[in-house]
Amino acid sequence: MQDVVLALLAKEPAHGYELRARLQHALGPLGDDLNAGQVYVTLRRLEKAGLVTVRLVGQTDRPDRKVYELTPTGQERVTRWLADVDRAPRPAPTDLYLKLVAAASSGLADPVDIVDAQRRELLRRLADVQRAALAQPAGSGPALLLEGAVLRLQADLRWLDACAAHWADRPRG
Amino acid sequence: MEPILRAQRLRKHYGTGTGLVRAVDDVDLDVASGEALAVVGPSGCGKSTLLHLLGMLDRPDGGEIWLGGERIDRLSETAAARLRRRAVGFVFQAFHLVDELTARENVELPALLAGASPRAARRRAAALLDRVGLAHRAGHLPAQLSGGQRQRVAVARALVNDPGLLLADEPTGNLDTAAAGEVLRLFDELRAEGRTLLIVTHDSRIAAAADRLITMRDGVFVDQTVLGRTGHGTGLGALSGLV
Repeated sequence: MQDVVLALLAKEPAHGYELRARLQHALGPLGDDLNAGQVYVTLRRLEKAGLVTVRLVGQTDRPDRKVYELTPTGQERVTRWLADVDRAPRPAPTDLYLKLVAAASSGLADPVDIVDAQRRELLRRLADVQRAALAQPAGSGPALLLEGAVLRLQADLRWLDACAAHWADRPRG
Repeated sequence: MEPILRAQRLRKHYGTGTGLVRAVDDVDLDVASGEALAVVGPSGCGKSTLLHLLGMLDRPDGGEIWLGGERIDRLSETAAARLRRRAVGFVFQAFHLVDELTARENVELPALLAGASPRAARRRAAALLDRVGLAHRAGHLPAQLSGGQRQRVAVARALVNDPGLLLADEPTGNLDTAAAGEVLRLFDELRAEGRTLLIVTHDSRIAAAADRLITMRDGVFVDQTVLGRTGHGTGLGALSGLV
């Protein structure tokens, strides 16, 4: 969550309400559970960690608005996060998706490059699992068990292809 | 080491003006002898066109192709056909078996066309059908075989002239998961035997069985993954997160 919020600020300074709206827009129905509190708590933590600074912008007839902006340290962390490949056995789709959204909106990385890096990781994993599966006699129990892992990785890879196609069509969407 | 197959600035475009499709756009490729290479990418990325060019089934608009040290992109139709029979084996998505011939006759056919004696062709076909686990199906017509079995017959046929290069275009594309598994196992065995394989596919599973994997998009290579084979590197730890 911290990284996503930071990356969304990379494009331009924003206030909490805007950030929440952008997250909800990106997540669709999955964003329904995202309450304003979560975004503000995250922003406060980022501020404490020196990754964002707050500027008060005056408004007529309403309290001042807090506009959040990345610090150089925050900027560095966003860049590192975008370049980082998820090495979890099965990366959570939402994490990668938000990273791609953030990369596209900030313009700091090409989402298709991120997908390619993740695909390399999953393909190596698939190759490993498959080698283990092929080492088992065809039709054996262990081969069947490993088949489950193979099919799940295949599903993840197909989704990556869909991600690549989505962002290849609109590189800065 | 000298690559068995080399392409330089290989190009094939279709159409003109706004309808121009750069199916293969100045691609360089080296395939080492004994290497299993997979080319993956979305439909229409040019991977099938690439395979057709490399297998002399289609002519490039530009660039060079070398097979076993011989330049092959400017051969006459006859010379290309002769070389293709001898040096390249093909496996297609839709099997392309002759419906009226038995499994054995299908496998024998390219050997006979290449000038083998009927006896030698029969002997090789029998050995290869045994190799792909279908000795007991040798007398069956394609219609009497399952999809996986048909593709295994097609692989046996592709190997009958002992080609230096095996080209496969979506070999599991028409198969269900179990049948694709049979074909995958067979390709993995061929790889382990040191056959040179070039497989064009969007089945990540068969792609992951290769030594090297190239991603193609809009007629160009955009990414490459080397799938190193460092013994049985997969510990239980790496697997347990997945099952």
